[in-house]
Amino acid sequence: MNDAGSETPSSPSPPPAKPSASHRPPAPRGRLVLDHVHKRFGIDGTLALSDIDLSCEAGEFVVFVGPSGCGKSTLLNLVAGMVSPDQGTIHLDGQLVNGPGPDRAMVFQEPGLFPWLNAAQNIEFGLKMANVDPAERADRVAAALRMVRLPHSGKRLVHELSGGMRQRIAIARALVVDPALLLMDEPFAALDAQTRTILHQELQEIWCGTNKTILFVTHSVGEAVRLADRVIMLHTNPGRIRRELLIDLPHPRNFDGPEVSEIVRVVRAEIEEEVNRVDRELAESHAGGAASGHLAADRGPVGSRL
Amino acid sequence: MALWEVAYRLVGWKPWLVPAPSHVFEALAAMLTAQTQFLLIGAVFVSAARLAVGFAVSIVLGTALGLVMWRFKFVDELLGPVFLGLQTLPSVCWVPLAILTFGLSERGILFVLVLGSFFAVAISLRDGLRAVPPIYRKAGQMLGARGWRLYSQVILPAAFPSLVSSLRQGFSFAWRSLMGAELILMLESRGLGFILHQAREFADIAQVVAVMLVMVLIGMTVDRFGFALLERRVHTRFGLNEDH
Repeated sequence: MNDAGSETPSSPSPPPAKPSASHRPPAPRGRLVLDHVHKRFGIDGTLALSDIDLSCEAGEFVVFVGPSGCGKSTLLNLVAGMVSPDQGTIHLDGQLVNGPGPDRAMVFQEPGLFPWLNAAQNIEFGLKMANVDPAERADRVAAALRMVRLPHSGKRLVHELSGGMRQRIAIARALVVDPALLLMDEPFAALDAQTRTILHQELQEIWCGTNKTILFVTHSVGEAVRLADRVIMLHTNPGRIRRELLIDLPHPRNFDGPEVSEIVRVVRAEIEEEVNRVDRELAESHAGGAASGHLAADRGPVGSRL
Repeated sequence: MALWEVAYRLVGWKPWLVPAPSHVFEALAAMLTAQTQFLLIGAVFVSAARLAVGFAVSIVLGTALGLVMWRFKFVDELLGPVFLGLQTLPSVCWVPLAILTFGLSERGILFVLVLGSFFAVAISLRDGLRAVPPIYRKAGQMLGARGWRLYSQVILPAAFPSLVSSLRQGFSFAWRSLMGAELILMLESRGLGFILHQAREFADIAQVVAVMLVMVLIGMTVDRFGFALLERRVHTRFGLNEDH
């Protein structure tokens, strides 16, 4: 169940290869391979991620879902090079990932825009670090602002932008350096539902237009099914891949259509089962103790939010 | 001020024990128009020049030390408590050491001023750098900033609001240290502290209060109209104001 590309020729159903790639130009770069990646955390060496074996095709939109603490964000940080795996390797287009680099841009839940710079200067920052010459920088910043539909907001200061605008600028800032891979760590979690839907549509359009490989982490199944070519569900404790699901719907999608709703229902049921499993295990391991009740109560909202 | 004047007249304090505001202003006017041997304007310039040089040295040393203490934990652990301890020492207490080491010289005054203020700059800079949200460093690294450029283009600008506050604090320490040093270390070129001392020697209490008033005014002006305005502008830029 690990590799989407491992379909057998005998399979009567259409091969689970990339369904949406047909109407989009092939991406020349952005092929990511994680090979038996393990990551431990803390003094006690809790296994955060166990034996993650995964490959993402160039131009694929992969969304990771799972309950809190399943290591979704850790996985992104590993790919970003912010932390290194204890075992295993990560390769992007054949290059070993070893520390942060501009070929892997990231959008965080908090936009993390620099408040001492205006919107345009924030977008320009990565180009400056890459020593792109000023004339080209200006052109690319203007194009990036148009891409996120904020062509006239370049002069605004960060605190003058709304939450949705900040996240658009953060996306523009990440994409302007033309990375092979875009990593998104719950980028819309802090936004209201309307803004989130608008940004889902925009992100889809941007993705179709740029053909970047996107790795997207969320705890919202609805968000995952709306956006993904492939949804990867993670197990908790230790974090490992539980199941992969190809979302065989064309882009751009009708978010309110019956197909999307049906898939959301199925995935949600699986994740609830996973949350319940974790709670059961915790209850058993702390049998009778007050701690189990406390932990189970803590996890309650995770299931209900999905 | 009016209460002070009224109280003075009602109680009938002796003018050589407690001056009235009117006496103080007379003394101030006298010093401004050079009717005495103490040239107020000249003294202000002498003190300001010392302050400029000393504070500049203090900023350079304090910034360097603050950066090192922030960057290298062992330096911080080694020196942090020492500096915090020395910080509790009133700056005039450096004067005897300065006199023995440097004699009655400009360098002695600078020594007191710098030692009185650069710890404050260093410690508040270190705290400011520590308080930089980790997301900025992460974003900077993600966008390809590394090494020196990560510090100069991300960490330092992110710490700028606390940088301004650290300078503001450093200035008030520097000014107090300078006045203390001038009061005791009397040199040919006469600063404000020297004039304060001379006024005491001549038992001219109105003049003593007048000079103190000038010291307060200068300190407050720089603080309110220099640093506070700068601070407000930085906070507006960063969106840190309450009204946002």
